[in-house]
Amino acid sequence: MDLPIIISHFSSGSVLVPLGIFIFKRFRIVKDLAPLIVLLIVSLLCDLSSFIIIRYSVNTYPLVNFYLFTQFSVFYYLFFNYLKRAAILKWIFIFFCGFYTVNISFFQGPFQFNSVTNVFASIILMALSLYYLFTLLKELPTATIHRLPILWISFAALGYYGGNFFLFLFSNYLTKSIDGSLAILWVLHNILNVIKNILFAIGLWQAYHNPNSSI
Amino acid sequence: MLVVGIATFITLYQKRILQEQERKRLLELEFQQKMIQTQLDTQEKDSIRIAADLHDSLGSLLWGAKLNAAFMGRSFEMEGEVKESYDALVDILDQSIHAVKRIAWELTPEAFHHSGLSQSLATLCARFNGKGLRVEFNEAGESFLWNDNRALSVYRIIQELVSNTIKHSEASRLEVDLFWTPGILFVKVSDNGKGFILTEKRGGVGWWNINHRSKQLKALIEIGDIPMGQGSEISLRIPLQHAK
Repeated sequence: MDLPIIISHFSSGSVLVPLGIFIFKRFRIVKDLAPLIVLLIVSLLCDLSSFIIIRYSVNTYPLVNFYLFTQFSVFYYLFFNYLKRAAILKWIFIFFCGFYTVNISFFQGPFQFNSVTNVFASIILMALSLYYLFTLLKELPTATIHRLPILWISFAALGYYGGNFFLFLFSNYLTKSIDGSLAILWVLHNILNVIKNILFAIGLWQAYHNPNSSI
Repeated sequence: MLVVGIATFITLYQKRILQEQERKRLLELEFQQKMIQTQLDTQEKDSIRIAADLHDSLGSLLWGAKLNAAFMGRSFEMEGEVKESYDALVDILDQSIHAVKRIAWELTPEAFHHSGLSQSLATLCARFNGKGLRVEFNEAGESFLWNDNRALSVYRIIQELVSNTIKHSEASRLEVDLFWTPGILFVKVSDNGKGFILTEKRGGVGWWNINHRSKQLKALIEIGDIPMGQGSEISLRIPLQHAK
């Protein structure tokens, strides 16, 4: 089995780490993190579905595009809640939804990877996570910051979307200069996905062990 | 890179938390000092008000009574028991006028701002000297006319210590020593009384005042380790910066 395939399976399986914690804690849902559990389940289902339908040579990009939109929405909802539901955030989300719909309907289409939307999503979520981290530094809500679940989710968003942003921004350069065309892109993306799931797991673990630590 | 970022963020956050805690601690300290200063200022103002009231109202009334008594003395020929009673009345009035003056002076040494710390302490000691208690005031070093609010605080501390000795120590000798150096004033108040237990909780208003005035003066207060029944010795080390 090729290394990229192994990494791909490893990436798909990494979602089981945070989900494992959820199962270990007897499916108990921490109030503020319910959307995260939904995202993990959707991620698992999308990966399983892709694994099955790819055997029938069916294009999996519609599923990938759907998952990326779901993931963006969940991250966005979490930041929206923690950033005191600022009115401007509603308008940014509405604008993003419009952008996503136009791009998937008229430009890149559902059967290819919506890289433009993904770069746009990356910029928004990087800005939101940086803004949230800045807010934490300004407000100093707790003495033990590492116990704050949303901190780890912010790092997950920053790491994953920051990495994605540069990956897809320099995708042309990467695919031209390194043999293996798009494969290298997906290998790096899968590594980012593993890191993201590990950070989710840390966040969930902190949420279960410090139930009063969410802001 | 992400790991370095996370570590940097958490370190930065903890540093900010420590800075914030330090800021809060300093604010609290400042607030406490302001509260103490206000309380001490209020005490000082109350002392001045009571002294003024005593002097102006009770003092005037007593003077009026004495003038009337003197007029009666000049107007009537008194003999025997009447004369004795009249003399006793004049004596009581004299004592009362003297007591009012003494209390008013103790509350606000009227000449403090003119005579300064040394002279006021010398007067304080002289007033308590006699009647079974020998009070000595000694001074060494280069003294100067120190008469600001800090000096008044030092005076209040010594006044409280002297007052405590007189009230509780059953001493026959009390010494107040000042030693002036260019940057520090050393004060020693010692007696040969029964002493006091060092571990005993000192929660009275007097000790509260001494402690807080000492803190405000940034003074170091030391209670001498003298065996029970062999007197007591209290030393103060008062910085003199900005005093001149």
